[in-house]
Amino acid sequence: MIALGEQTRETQTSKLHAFDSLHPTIQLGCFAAILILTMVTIHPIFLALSFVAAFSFCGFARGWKTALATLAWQAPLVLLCAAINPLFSSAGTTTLFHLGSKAVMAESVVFGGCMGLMLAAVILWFCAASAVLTSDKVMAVLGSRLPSIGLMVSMTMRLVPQFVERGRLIEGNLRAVSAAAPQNSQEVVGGRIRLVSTLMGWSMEDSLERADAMKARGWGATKTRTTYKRYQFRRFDAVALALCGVLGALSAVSAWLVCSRWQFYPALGSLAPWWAYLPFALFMFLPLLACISENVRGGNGRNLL
Amino acid sequence: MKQLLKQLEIPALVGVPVVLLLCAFFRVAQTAVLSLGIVLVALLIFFVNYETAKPALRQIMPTVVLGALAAAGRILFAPIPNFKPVTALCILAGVVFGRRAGFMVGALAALVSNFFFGQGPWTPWQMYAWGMIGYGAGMLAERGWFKHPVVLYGYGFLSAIAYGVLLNTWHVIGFVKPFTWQGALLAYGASLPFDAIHAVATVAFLLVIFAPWRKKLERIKKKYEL
Repeated sequence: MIALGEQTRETQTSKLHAFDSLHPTIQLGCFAAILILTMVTIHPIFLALSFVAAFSFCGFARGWKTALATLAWQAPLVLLCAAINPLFSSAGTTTLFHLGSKAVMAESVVFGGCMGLMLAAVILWFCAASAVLTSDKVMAVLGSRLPSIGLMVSMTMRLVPQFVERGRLIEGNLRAVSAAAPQNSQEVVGGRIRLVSTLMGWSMEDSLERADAMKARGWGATKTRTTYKRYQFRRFDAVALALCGVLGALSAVSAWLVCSRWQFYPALGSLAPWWAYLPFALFMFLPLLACISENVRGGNGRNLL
Repeated sequence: MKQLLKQLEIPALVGVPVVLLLCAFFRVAQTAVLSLGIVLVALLIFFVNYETAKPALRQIMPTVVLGALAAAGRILFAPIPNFKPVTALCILAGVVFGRRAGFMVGALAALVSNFFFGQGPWTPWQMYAWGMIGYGAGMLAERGWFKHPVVLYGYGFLSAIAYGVLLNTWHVIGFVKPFTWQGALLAYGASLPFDAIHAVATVAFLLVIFAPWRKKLERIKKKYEL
């Protein structure tokens, strides 16, 4: 049986439907687990897997240009961790080459490369997550637990575009008084400050009146305020949660076992057999695989299971 | 429980940089995730305390408006790198509406403007850093430190620098490994010009808006009996 709510749930991009149609708590939990696993496993294979998965999902969900631009924007920081810092570190036993009087060690280079990969992967995962976890979903998950904070965040989100609109309105009004047009650059700057000050005063008084209006309409009259639940937890969500939970736990255990046998210093440890990385790889690629398999089948998210 | 959380607020807020430095000192391998966890816990303790105080609608509205103005200002001035009014507005909010409002303005501005700029692992750090600037401004104003304008501009300048240093320190301690002084200095050096712009912008915004806006806000406070 299909729950009735299923048809009504909107999706932003049909491409991401398989992941987008899940309950936001699962999406948030899934990305949080992926992020924590990425930051905890300081191991070249795991980090490379996470990086590739993050880059592909980010590229798939938000476009390859956005993915590359996100990376390019953070390139100096990543390069410092991955390439420049190892030159100064003398930890390790295998000398790669000499830079002046200092030896550059292979172990330091690998460690630095891992940290660079981790930083890049974390940034890309955030970029990928924001394609799916829009602000309204984050509010739906967190806002009901902290109602005042939730109200404040959603009002701030609303006010930013309103301020831009009102700024234009004030500007138009000021410009209409052509006799008072600014004569020199000092007056132009002065006019800008006046504009922002007007905006602040207007919005501040307006917001206090809004507060009174909300109170008059019964805000805070009862102890707990119920909210419209846009997202319902369905059977499909429970199955997806179980799948994510099992896969996440499996990859955490395997990552822990592999990492506890791995070392950077004094010499690099040996790599574990390929199947040890399988659960982690599956978990990292899960969001992307879900979306791709659905696009191939051309159905909705339930086809996956 | 509520009392305990209230007692924990200041230690948790002060504890974030302390834990960051301890992680560096003891060379903790998992610093990246540990430091992110500690900053999230500090933010959560503050938010829960804010929530349990049951702020009235009229109390939260000025905070929301100043937070939205700071976010809009950050977006408006985005073409000039790091020339942003957020720090100045956090200080103003802390001085006029108290330290908790100052913290909330900083946290709201960082969170909301990042929905436009792009969220990242830096979001909780920016929320914390700007929040602390507002919180500190509120605490100093309570003790009457800002009577002399030089102290105010000095605080604005130094807090903008501190903001940059905190975000860099998190990056250096979390990711520049194995830790080397050369690598750390390179990271701080590269961001120095940007931090300098931020500091100058903060003082410039304070010079222009602090006195008139404070007067305006005090008038509104009186008018609406806040």
